[in-house]
Amino acid sequence: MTLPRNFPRHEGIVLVTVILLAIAVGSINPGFFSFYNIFSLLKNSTVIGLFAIGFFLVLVVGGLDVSFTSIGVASMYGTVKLALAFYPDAPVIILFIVTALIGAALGLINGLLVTRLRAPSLIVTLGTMSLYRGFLLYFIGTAWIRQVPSAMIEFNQFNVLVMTAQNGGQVGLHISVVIFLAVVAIVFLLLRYTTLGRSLYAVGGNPVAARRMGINVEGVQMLAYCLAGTLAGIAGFLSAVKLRLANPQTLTGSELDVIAAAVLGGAAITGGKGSVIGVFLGVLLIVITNNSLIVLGIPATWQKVAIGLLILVAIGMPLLWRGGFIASRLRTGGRLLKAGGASR
Amino acid sequence: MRLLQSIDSRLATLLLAAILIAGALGIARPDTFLSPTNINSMLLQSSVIGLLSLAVAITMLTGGIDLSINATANLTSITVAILLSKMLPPTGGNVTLATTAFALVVGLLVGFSCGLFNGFLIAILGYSPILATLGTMTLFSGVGTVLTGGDTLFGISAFASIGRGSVLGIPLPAIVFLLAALVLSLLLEARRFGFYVYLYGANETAARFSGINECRLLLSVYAVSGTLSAVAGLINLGVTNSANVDFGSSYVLLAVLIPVLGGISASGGAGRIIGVVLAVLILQFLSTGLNLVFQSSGSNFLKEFAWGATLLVVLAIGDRRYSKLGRGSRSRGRTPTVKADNVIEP
Repeated sequence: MTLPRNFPRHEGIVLVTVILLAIAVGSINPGFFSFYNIFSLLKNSTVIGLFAIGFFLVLVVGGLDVSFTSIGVASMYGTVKLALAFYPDAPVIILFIVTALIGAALGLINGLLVTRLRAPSLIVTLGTMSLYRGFLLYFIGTAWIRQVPSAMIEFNQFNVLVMTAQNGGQVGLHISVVIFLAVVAIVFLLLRYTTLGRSLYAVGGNPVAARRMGINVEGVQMLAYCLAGTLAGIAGFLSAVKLRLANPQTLTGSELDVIAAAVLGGAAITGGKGSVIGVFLGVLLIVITNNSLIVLGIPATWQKVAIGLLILVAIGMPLLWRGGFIASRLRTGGRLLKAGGASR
Repeated sequence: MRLLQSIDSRLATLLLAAILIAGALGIARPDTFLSPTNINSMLLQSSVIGLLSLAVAITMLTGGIDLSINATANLTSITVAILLSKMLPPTGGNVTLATTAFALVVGLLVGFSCGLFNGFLIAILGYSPILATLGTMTLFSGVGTVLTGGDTLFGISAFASIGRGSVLGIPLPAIVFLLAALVLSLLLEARRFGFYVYLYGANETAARFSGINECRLLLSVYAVSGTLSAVAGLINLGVTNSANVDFGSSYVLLAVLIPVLGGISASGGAGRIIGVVLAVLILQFLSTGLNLVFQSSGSNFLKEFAWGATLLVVLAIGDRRYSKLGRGSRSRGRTPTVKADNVIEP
């Protein structure tokens, strides 16, 4: 291999894939590289991106949280309802704090249940997913709210960087992109340079060893679920801001994109692996793919097949490097008694 | 021995719960709940979800999971619907028995191959079951979308008459479900295959060292799961006389919930099929009961809430005995993600 030893192999490959895909799409449709398109791609990736970072934090500690869309919708709808009932003129920062707090509380419930019940986190969060969603839709409401608080509408039109496009129109970088990039940066620093961040990896990598080291394993796991809930709350709220509409039945069905983005970015489902940069690139790859399948000439009915295959290939990439593993599986069927197979 | 006793007490609890719920509903709404129409429709509804639960249960016993069951079932019913409508004689009239049988076999083969593909990803390429079946869930329903173009296909009357038929007053789908449960039960409890499934679920490493062919085992388990999903899809086509990609998307959660409720350990290696059958009955009673008592438009959402709550309560009260870590010491400080074979007592 000509790559330097410490080159982040997975992130590198995802980055190359993103660039190749961008060049391919851009060569078919030159409009791809316009500011307008790049800004709107970034804007489209914020909700998926925030969900994916939360999902990734839980993956790092060795868990699996599939309730994030339910948390996002419940926080968003609850916040809008509360604001309309008590404080319709609330500044947007208050709304963000409320949605983040609701998300954090729901995430904490996930964390408590997962650490106390000792059941697989997938099954626990499948339960809380329908618990939160059912609670929201039965007890809180199913109606679309079109008259959202005015702060949300102002925030919807808030661009930080306004450029003049080739055709003379104004294009702006939406503020949600800045929030997303800030979250990426904060989580990156947290995971890389703090004791807490390293202990997240330690817990996911080997919980027994982490406990022997004196790490509060349950505490760290609960924190990860709580952070994931917080980010899901913010993501849900941003999705309503973008549409200027609070719809309690939105977002369901986007789980797979988020999971794919995190796994594409190199996070391992067994925990303890992956980086935020990888997840960020994974999000870009998913968003570009979703937006470009038509440009690439894939008919609408084939899109689901394409995405399913992409996900399977993405999950498979790190596995295929272990070519020897597959060969030995084919030879021995996974048995360890045969000579040469018992190397574990 | 203690394990055996605990399983039996679990089954007794489930049976008691089923009888109590049915009794309460029977007293609350005697005219509607116990009417033959209602009993028939409960049996019809529970057979599809029951077959899907069996499909998840067998993968759970190995410590895996199959989330693509619903997509497999829908792909099967779509394929068969297309096949049957293509084979209708151009002169009009209905298909012959032979063509129907041919379509059934093709449908089962579709489910079998879907399951085998899952098994290939998991056993040979080493994918984690959750991610592999999440991916194939999208892939299979994507193929379904390609085949239907997103439309709903309608079956044909000859097939629907089978789905709506009954033997001795019992709807045919319910008979198929009970037969499938019986066969699976025998396969798991009286054959070597079943012994391997439980051993592998209880301790993968021990199973590997004892010389079990892991690949063949996982391939067969996921193929069985796919075939059971295909049977569910065929029954669904027969009962509803229609097929589309989005049918029963809430079934995935239910099909995971029911085995857990029925005492199948979510981390593998423990639980019995009879428990799954009882759990199907309990959930069907609950869901019919909620519909009868709360006849408002939102009762679907209440059901979703109730199912989530049921799953969590069952995990909270019932699973200590079954979880690999709860069995021995009860020290609070252990994590659920630790595999039993990694634990070294200080």
